[in-house]
Amino acid sequence: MGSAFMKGLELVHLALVHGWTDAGPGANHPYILKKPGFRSVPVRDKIQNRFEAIGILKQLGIPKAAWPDKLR
Amino acid sequence: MKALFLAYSLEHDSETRTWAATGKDRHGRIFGVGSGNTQEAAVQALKEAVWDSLAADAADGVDWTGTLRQRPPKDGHLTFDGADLLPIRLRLARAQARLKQADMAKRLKITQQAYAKLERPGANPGLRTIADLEHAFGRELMAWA
Repeated sequence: MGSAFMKGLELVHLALVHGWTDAGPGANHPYILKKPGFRSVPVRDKIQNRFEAIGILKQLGIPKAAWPDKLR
Repeated sequence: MKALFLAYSLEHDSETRTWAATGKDRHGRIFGVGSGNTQEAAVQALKEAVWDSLAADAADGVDWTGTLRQRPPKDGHLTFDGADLLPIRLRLARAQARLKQADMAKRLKITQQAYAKLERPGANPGLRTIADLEHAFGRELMAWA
């Protein structure tokens, strides 16, 4: 995983549990998460730091109680 | 074509020694996040994230460009100019017209691959191509703001 803080796939799996769907790759991101009424949320393979991970989780509207332990 | 703007804030993560740029739309809600080893890399990653988000929703006929700012904020901000926005507007127009890329290619008398390039970031069509696109869609694209 190199210097990645965490894998993007971990966030994608969490998003799927909370009603998001993976619409497949975009021009710059392997995962584009979609949910009706929300803006799409792109996710990279490797999340570089906690701020990137938290920013994604907030856009997904996932409650803090459901976040991975390392982010709470 | 009017440019649109996205405010952002930068944070440095001492654990990974990387930067994160978090975008905020005109309502103050988070819109995109990018990371990199430098501030510039983080901001570029943010722009790519916002572009991918806008493009993905445009493909479904949903336009979120209205959540960007019409005037540049005083602090750090990204600019989305005509070159950035045209591929998104093409996707939106095509989705709203319920057309496939192959349909547009046929109208423009070009290959589907050539049309697909127009809907990708970095596309830089000439004035003739833009005029042909507007004629094919039956609507203005460059003045759409």
